[in-house]
Amino acid sequence: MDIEKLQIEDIKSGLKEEKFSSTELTEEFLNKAKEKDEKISSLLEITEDLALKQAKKVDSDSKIKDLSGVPIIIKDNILVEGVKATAGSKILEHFRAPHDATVVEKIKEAGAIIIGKGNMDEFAMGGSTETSAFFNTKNPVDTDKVPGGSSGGPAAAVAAGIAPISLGSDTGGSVRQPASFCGVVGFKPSYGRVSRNGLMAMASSLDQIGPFAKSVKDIKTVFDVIKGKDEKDSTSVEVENSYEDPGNFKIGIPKEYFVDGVDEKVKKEVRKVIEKIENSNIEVIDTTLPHTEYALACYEIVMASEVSANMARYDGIRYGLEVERPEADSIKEAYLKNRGKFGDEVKRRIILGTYSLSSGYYDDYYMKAEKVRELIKRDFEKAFEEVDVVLTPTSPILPFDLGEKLEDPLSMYLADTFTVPANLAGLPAISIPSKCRGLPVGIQITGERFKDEKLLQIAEKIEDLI
Amino acid sequence: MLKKETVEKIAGLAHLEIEESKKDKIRKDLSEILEYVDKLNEVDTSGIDFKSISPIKNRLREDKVVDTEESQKEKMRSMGKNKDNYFQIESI
Repeated sequence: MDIEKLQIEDIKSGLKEEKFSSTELTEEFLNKAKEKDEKISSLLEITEDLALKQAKKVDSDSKIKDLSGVPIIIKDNILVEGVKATAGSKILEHFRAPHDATVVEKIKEAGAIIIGKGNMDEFAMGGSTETSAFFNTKNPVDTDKVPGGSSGGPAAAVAAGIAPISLGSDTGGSVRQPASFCGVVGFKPSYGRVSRNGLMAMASSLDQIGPFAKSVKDIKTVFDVIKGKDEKDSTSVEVENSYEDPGNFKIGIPKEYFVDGVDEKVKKEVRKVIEKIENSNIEVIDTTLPHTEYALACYEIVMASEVSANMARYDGIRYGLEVERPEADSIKEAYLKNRGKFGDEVKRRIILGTYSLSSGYYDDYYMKAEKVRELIKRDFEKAFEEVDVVLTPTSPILPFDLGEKLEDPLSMYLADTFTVPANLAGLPAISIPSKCRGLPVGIQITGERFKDEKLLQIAEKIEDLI
Repeated sequence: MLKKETVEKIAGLAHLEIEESKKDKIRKDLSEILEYVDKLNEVDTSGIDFKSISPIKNRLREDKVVDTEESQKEKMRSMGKNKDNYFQIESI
């Protein structure tokens, strides 16, 4: 049996027909993880004991649940009780999660098997997984290339067949961009649809947990398990939606996403997909999102400002076992020494955020960015008066070489140009592979706020056409 | 280009120490990023009143104890040195 290609339904029917037990399948996936990860380094830890314990539970349960026996990788900034959660940072190297994140509670309850923790850019800050304090992850499609980021580990693991599904977090594209780079499906739900309790906060007005899978169908199954209002995340909401047939829908193509600087292969692949959609009698029209050009600048300020506030909690005392206690004469000195463990990218963003929130600059940067953010939101609202979803490339560029952009932060940030608008506007957005030869290209489809189910229905139809 | 003193002052506010050898690189990177975000000034936002942006309401809940003492103890065990459910740190 080729377990690399298994999807959720295959596993559930295999269990039902007793082709394999959950324990047998889990052992196979654990072996697969050990073998494959030698090459791509997508996992910070393989959670063998936990996985086998969960598999045993599935085997003793007569009921097959939504994710029974389905292996899953969890990004390392999401808490799994008793398992290390480093978020790719030295400052949390010895931190063990004291409780489960709400999403983890939910997937455990649904019968999923946690195989390991996914590598990531330090505190989810980066677009290539190279800012991880531990090691680089390689793109399974071409191991000289980055897997994207910040959820590079969870994306690469699904692409390599280590697990059929994984969970990441998306603040400015950290699920969709690595999905695009690794050739898998990645979904960022609307802001508020999935609880962030137990996700380490990066930029709280933008962060959202989202799944990776090999198909939109599997994305729907995972989303249905993790969505919903949670007492422990006051920004979460309950939305009563069902998967209705979207009927006749209209797709908008915003011209601002097909400008100079977008890789020719990316443009060609997206146009090919648009052609296939048009040929199947789905209406495709031109639309406009005039403030797209300013989205990245707006994002950098909003994100860095929130980062500087959220990172203040890491003083080296409250989280994680203090293995080496620094020699310090004052509390300030102890903080400085402990916070010295942050990597360069985290420091850069904390300083940028502190600067843009500091007295004298606040109006020019933070307030200005929040106002531009409102205009970006209004662009989408206007576009959605005419169309049901907008379709764009996920990333303007193809997966790049390891090390290529690490020393040039601005060029790394520019790779997020097309993914940040959905976070700024709180919208659901999904990246699906264009299924081309060579390096993968992702097609991004963005929908109206809270209409995640409708977006997924449309994405599934488009996936069928590709 | 940002002044060296500005970077030092801001880093100090954030309780960060920047190694001497990295100061020039971080000045250069930040200056480039700030130059880039300056393009926000091209956007006319005079029609946007900050107070009218996405009306946010507080969502309140009862402040009640949900964890038991036992689970509190267990959680503290994974959180570094502690005694009687308090963090233990060196006197400074």
